[in-house]
Amino acid sequence: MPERHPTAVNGALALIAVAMTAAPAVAQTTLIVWGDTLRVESYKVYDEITEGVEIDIVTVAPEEVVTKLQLSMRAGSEIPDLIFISDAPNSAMLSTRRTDYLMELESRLDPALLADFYPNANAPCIVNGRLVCLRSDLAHNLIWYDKQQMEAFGYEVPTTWEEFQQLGADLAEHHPGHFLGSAVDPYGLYGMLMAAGCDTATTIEGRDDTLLVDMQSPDCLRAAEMIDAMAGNGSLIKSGPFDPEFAASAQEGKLLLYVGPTWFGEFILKPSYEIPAGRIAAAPPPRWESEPGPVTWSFGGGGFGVWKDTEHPDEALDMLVWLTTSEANQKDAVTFPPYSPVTRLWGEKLITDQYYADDQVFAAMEEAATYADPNYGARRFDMPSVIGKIVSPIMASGGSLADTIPALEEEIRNTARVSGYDIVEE
Amino acid sequence: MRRAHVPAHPPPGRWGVTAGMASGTAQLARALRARKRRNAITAYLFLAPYLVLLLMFGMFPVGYAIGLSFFDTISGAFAGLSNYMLALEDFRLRRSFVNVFTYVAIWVSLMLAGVITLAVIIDMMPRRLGTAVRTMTFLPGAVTSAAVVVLWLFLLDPLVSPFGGVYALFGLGNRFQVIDAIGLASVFALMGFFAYAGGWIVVLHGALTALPEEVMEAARMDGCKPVAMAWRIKIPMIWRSIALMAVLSIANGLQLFVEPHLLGLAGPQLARNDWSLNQLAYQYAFSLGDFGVSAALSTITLALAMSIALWIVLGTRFYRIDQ
Amino acid sequence: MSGARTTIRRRPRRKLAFWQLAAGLIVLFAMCFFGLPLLWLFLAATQTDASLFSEPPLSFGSWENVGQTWTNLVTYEGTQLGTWALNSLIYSVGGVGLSLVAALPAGYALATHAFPGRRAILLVTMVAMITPNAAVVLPIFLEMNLLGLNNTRISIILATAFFPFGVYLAFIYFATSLPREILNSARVDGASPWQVFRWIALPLAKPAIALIAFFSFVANWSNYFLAFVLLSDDELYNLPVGLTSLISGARALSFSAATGIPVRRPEAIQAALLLVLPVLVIFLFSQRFIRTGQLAGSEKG
Repeated sequence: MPERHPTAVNGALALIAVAMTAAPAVAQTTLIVWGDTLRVESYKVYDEITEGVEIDIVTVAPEEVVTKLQLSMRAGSEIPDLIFISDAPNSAMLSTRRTDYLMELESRLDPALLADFYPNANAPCIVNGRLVCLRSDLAHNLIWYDKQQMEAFGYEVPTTWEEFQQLGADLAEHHPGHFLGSAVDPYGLYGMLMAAGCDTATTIEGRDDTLLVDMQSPDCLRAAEMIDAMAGNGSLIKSGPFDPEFAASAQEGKLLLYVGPTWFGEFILKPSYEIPAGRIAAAPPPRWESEPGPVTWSFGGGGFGVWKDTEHPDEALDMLVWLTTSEANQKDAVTFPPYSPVTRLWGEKLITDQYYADDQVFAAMEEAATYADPNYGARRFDMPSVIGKIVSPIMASGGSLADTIPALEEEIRNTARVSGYDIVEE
Repeated sequence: MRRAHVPAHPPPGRWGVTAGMASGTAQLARALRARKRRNAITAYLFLAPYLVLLLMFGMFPVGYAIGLSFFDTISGAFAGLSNYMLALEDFRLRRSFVNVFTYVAIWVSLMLAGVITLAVIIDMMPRRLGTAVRTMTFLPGAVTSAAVVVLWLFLLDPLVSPFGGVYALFGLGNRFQVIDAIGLASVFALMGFFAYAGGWIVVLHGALTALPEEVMEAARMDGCKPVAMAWRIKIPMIWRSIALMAVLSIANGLQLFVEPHLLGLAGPQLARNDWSLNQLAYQYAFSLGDFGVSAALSTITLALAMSIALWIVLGTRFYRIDQ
Repeated sequence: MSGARTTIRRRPRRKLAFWQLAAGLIVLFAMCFFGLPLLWLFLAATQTDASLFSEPPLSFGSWENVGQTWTNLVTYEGTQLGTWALNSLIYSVGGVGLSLVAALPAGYALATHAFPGRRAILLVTMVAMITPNAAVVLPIFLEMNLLGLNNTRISIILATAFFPFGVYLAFIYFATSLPREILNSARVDGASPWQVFRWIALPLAKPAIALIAFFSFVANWSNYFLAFVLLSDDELYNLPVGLTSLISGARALSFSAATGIPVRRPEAIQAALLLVLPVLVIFLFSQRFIRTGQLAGSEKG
């Protein structure tokens, strides 16, 4: 790969006088790495502590990583050696016949290291059975609740979805106006459908690029009926957690309980809903009564991947491992780290955090991490967008999810086919 | 009435020819040919910088896109019409067509009615007040990207919108109901009108100010009322600018991309990443890496936009100026 | 002229005519449609992310919020506001300059010269004018890549210098507002074509120059898509691309705000205002220029 002297090249070419700076000194190895604003700081730290490797950092907005990568691969220049993938499912978009960017990792990494990740933490990094990235953070769902309010009303935290639905019914009867979540938010709906074991787009082992889409099953239906009932009595409201209406009600203390991701407390309840200290607590996610234990979906969480044709695989892999598993990088990470030995160090501050009503928040998160759904994986299309397009408008105007399931199923199948998948329908 | 646009003196194409007819001798004809050649060389010298840019950024990219549409992205082999077949088979295509045509119909009528009305009214207003109104209509065009999203998410939400009163009047309680009631096509048309109307008001205003004062005075003396004057005299006299606006609005409307794309920045609830034809093309290129199908889709929309535009350009004798 | 003035004066001012009332209402409606969102944008910049929801729309937050938001915006490490603003300026000024250099002589030649191919060039210009950026951005990217100009300042300036709308405006202006008698007499006096253009046509074309420069500047200043595709080095970003990448990196608008970056909605709004203000200034400044120029043009025409 040619060495980069961007400033010098531009300066010489620019017609308009542009301040020129001296070309940077050339190190033995230069890695081009892409990341969003948040990752840049980690990259800088790594650059400082590592000898002989110079890190050339390019800031790329999370939504734009796939686009930019398509362009640079098409151009065949400035291809990054390591990238941050904001939306873990994007790894599927970067491992297609047309865009084959990501390096297979399992054969190159220490199995003991991989074993210390939480169960299924790297599921979104597995494309057609190959591990192609490592997670940077996890965002599995658990129960967030207003402990003070729950105690005042005399309610127990639900352990099953049936109890969750019952809580909604009780709330609607005795404390109307209080609510448990959203009936229109695609992430919330997706999470509830998946917790019930719905086959929205399940990969089939041993069959590449093949998905099982079968949403007429009892599993899907039980979730849809629960959502319809709760939307009907108002315990799931008709706006999403990032909409003004939802936020305003939550600010008034009307949000009693919410099944949401690990970051919901620190980044939504605290700053956006401004729930006062001493009220919020967390519990493991609910299960369906007929199931032995909970299965929980996730909402976000990124990963890092390496270019399969990088000229410096050792350096790039070293950086990858440092980013995902090192104490230096992950102990003070913004969101829940995937590598359990470091995660426990990360969680210490949550245990002592006076904002929460008790010291069990981290324990709930860690327990929830063990229930992570292996189906939370990489697909070449964005499922929440499909749900948002088909289901959200109907739910917002008071329609029924159960009645919309066939349309949603059809849309998912079509979208998956266009994205190059074979569909199995039973 | 077309006088304002057609120069009073003979246009360039003609006087050379008439002069040539008048002379009889071969010598004169030769001199004339030499002059014509010189004339052409001068013209091309003047045109040179523009022609270079036109080739590089006007013709080459379009040609390249058309070329791409006939080749397979992976193998690079000639693929005939298979990219087009793939594009036409896409289940989203029909929906996007309907979306885009609905949008164009709404948006172009909105632009024509709104911009002409406002430009004419502003033209009749006292100068300072007119300038103030014109400035206000123009500024929204400078609000771009992320801010457009924040702005419209709030504008469309009854709870926090400055237009909350209007929504309450119609009993619309949340953002979904608002969007449902207005319709996505109209929402995008409104977003477009908000952003682009001001620019065209400036152009039409320029055309209106350039109208010869004598004609206006004469009309006024004849007892022509302001509304009739606007409708019968001013608007017909600036038809060329209006036609230009219509052509460009249709062409840009068919290529709708920014508004639905930006709305997607706000999360999946409002994300419609396959709403318009251009978004489909974008999806193919940048999500799937299939530049061939993407180019085929672009070529289809481009051909569509150009046929409609050419039909208007030639059909309305837009080029009367050089006859 | 004086006769006409008396006519106007004689017009009775008894009461508001129906059309005046209607026109007034339309203007009022337009002011609300265009003005209220702008006003909201200005006031929203004085709120915090949470008070945006809790306070009634169009209420004033506090100056402290404005200060805090501004501090967040400029001090956050990922921000390079100064660099991006400078880039925006370079791209805009460069693009405007080159587009004028190309458009004015072209429009002049098309309007005043008869030559083979003229009609074809006009037609292609029209077609190029209606070919939107989005359709050709990818080919332009590949072309720049071929030329080795990707990720350079000059690539943006060159691509935006192609401004067929400007050529069209110049053509219309020279065709309608340039007194041909003057050009002819200058030619008879032995002036070279270049001299005629430089010393006679150009000085008369000030309004056209202002109009083209203005439209070109606004288009370049808010140019997002092209800059986004052509530039991959954040030190070369212009303001729209830089701010969008910052805001989207901070997830200020979308689902998860789980980044801890102090860039949220008020910061996004303030960034937007940062982009609007120069346009406002230039619009007000060029206002007078455009108007007086057009009046001058019409008198001569």
